[in-house]
Amino acid sequence: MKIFKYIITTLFVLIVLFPIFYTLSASLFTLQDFTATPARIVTSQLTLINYQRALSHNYYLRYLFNSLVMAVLGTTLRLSISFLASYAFARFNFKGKDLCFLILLGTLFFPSDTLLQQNYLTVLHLHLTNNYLGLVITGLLGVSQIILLRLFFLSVPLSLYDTASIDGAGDYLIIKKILLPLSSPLLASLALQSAISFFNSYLWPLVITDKINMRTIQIGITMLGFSESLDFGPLFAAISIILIPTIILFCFARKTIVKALTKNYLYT
Amino acid sequence: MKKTKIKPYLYLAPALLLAFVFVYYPLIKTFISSFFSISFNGKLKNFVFFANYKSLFSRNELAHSIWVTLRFAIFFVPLNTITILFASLLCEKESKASKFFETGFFLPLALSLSSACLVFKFLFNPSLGIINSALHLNINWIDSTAGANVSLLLLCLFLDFGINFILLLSALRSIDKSVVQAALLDGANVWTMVWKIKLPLIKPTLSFIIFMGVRDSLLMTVPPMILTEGGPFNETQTLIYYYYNLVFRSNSYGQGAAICALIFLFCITVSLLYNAFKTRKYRGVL
Repeated sequence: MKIFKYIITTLFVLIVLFPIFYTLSASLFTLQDFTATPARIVTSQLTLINYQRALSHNYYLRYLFNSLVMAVLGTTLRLSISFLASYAFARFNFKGKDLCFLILLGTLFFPSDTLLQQNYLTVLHLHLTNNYLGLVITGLLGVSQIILLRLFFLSVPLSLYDTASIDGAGDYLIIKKILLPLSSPLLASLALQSAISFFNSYLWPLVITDKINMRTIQIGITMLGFSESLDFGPLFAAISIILIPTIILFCFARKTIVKALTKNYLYT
Repeated sequence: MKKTKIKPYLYLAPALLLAFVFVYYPLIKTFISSFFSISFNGKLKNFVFFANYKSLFSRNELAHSIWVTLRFAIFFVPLNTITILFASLLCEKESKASKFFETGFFLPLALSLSSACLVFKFLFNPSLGIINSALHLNINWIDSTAGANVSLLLLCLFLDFGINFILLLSALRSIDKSVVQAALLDGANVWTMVWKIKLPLIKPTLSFIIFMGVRDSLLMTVPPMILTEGGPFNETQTLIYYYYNLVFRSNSYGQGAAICALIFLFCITVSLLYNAFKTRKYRGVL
């Protein structure tokens, strides 16, 4: 019974992992390997020429750089904005507090893809097309992050705030000395989630950039132009260059990442 | 908590500004512009009343894209839930082997969105793809209605696999061990264990996964954009993809706005119904 279960699980894992395995393997293929009969699973000769060709593509590294800038900039801004907003909700009593919260909560009901057209026009009028700020601007409002951070700040004992206030600490000091250190595990996992979602975003960057040197990797990788000439090797190499570091990271930091993604997973 | 006049508003200003500029303003603008004819730079030209809606409904593309989307969701949501449930039940018990399996099931997350679409596009390529040539099949995966939908379905199952798997696995592992022990002592077999004990206990996570599956499949755009390019004959042109084509390919801004207005109305109705349902349920309890 136990052996039976292991066999099924192994088969299942192999099926799920096949696309990843094939990508890595095909990144070493020669042109002939792709058309060989019977179909090849491993390369006929070991060569890194595909990697060389992917890396020497005029824009590949630029696309990658753009995506990294987008992920870092977007995550930093989104977290800062969410942090300030949730601090306001957790620490102050003010007129219209519930209304403000409802206004933010209400944005969750409308799928962002359907706002594409009008947001495109807005960003066009702000002259932010083909611009890093334009790339991230519609993703900066992280309502689910605000909800989670607010809950966290509310769980911090009031006496901690009071002691700090009596000692004359302003908001800046309270945030810097108390809240940032306390919430750093939560912030790290929120940062991971939003970095992934910025890195993976496709539709908005597609609409908002038309200069080739401002394309992000998600769009650029579909436009490398290798597959048009049935030259798939460099394309798989280009995918593998992103995939390999990610796999290494996932294998080594599996526990941390799983914890970060499950503990406070809310869709953004 | 202390009372200060202006500070909290300052802290909230960026978030509120973003909400108004990038959610509520476009929302209202969409409703308004769905009744206008619109110039190429987005300026409202003249009031046309329901003409945009009429021309939208006069062609059957809209109805077809809704049908395509619903058909996909009907297959995707149950299959997604069952495969994830199966995978996480297999890995549930912690052991040396399960760590290896876990990493395996979790790795699909490492392949980013458009990379996965491109890889599947090659795997399912009818003439060169490994799936046809290794299995000695001759199936037209991309250019036939059934083939395109099946390859799309498999791609989307793969894309959602990693995250759903770790969510469900951690839910299964957080089940109170004593409950399981008690059931074992009472002689529960595997089947009753899963159906009567485990599933009810992980119901919140399970319904979250189902909800996200419904949402994702109704809003699906990027996979058909890259994998099948909506083809063959718009058989995989989903609702949002149709909207994208209308607005950004054929510049029919007015009709695009009309589709969005309909989607918004749908969202508002669903959330109102959900709230009404929820309050009634709570009233029953209290």
